[in-house]
Amino acid sequence: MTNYSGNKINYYSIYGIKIATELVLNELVKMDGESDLIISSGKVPEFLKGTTQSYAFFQTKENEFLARIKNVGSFYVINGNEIIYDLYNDAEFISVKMYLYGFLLPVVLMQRGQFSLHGSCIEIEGKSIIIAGHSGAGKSSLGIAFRLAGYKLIADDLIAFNEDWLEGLYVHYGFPVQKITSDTAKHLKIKTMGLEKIPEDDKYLIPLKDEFLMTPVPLVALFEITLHEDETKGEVVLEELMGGEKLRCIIANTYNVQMIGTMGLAQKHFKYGTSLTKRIKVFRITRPIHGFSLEQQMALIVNAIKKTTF
Amino acid sequence: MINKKLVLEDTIVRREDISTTIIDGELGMMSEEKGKYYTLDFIGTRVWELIEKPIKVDDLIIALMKEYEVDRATCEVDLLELLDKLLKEELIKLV
Repeated sequence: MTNYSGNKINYYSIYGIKIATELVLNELVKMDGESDLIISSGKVPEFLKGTTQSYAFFQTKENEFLARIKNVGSFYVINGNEIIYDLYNDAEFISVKMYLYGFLLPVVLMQRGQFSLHGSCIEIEGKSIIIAGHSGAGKSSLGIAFRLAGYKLIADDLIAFNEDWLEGLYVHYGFPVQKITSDTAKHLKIKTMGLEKIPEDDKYLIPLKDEFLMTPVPLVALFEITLHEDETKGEVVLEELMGGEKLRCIIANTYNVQMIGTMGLAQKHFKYGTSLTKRIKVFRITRPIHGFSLEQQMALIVNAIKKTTF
Repeated sequence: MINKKLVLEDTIVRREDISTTIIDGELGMMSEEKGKYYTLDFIGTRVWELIEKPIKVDDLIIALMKEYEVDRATCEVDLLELLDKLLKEELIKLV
């Protein structure tokens, strides 16, 4: 495979993790020789011994995580600081990378006691916000619309927070790429020709340059996008969530939330989610099912950020 | 899963191993055992406070009627519905 650099070690930074690996991960931001996660090829155990939780394609125990992914390979994640991989010969490198970024790095974070949210992080007026919502609610389209309107993207898909919130809460930058489905691309008239495509997934990768922001920006709010249940409702509604609803929104938008319990981290996650809920404001945007309302959604968000005191 | 319907003579208490938090006056809860998260509204949160120590359902109704403007029938129906749910999710137990 041409995706290895031989003995050369590459250094990258993503989600606040400093990676050292022989893999060439072109999408990621390069760093100088410093690391807290080593990703290397090696022997992956057949199964975990002792008290474990087993599922269709992964097995967990405290500080250990083993995954066997069809057509890709086996992965062993230990103590939040090491990933050992054993790839299948015919594995497509883009698939390996997608599992690494979207599945294994979140496990690394969880082993470190950090929990991520699912959404996009965007800078608005010197503050940052998270756009979240169920798949199909239109969060990706909105994220892309914001970028096209000149706002900067800090993270897409996985939202990882800094560790010490005493110095302020912010989102670690992800990688300078925005995912887009072919439907959204068509809708927003974005050409997908020449873009890298994720196999077995209807998504393309748009590389970003100046639209990507790596400096920490204080996080102030999360906006959850939902759809009107009533098809005839045409307006876009913004409301602030409080109390139980607010907490539920944060918990529900946690990245791979169903995996947390299997790793024995439910208690930690509850505390983490609670602290987060107390640190930021949460709004819900309900949009019509049909028609174009991205402009309106953007205007409501920008306006809420401008007029709210955080 | 407990599917018992509570009656006024039952005595209940909240379970101690449930993690809770208060956000804007409302209670968020997590059952480690079930790996599930729950939230209670304002009145539900008050009920949770009142069942810290074992209490008879009937006494709980009387306590709530003193605090809120609610007629006996509504209070009884709403409270039993809430308590049955809490019992079903094993967040409270019968004493």
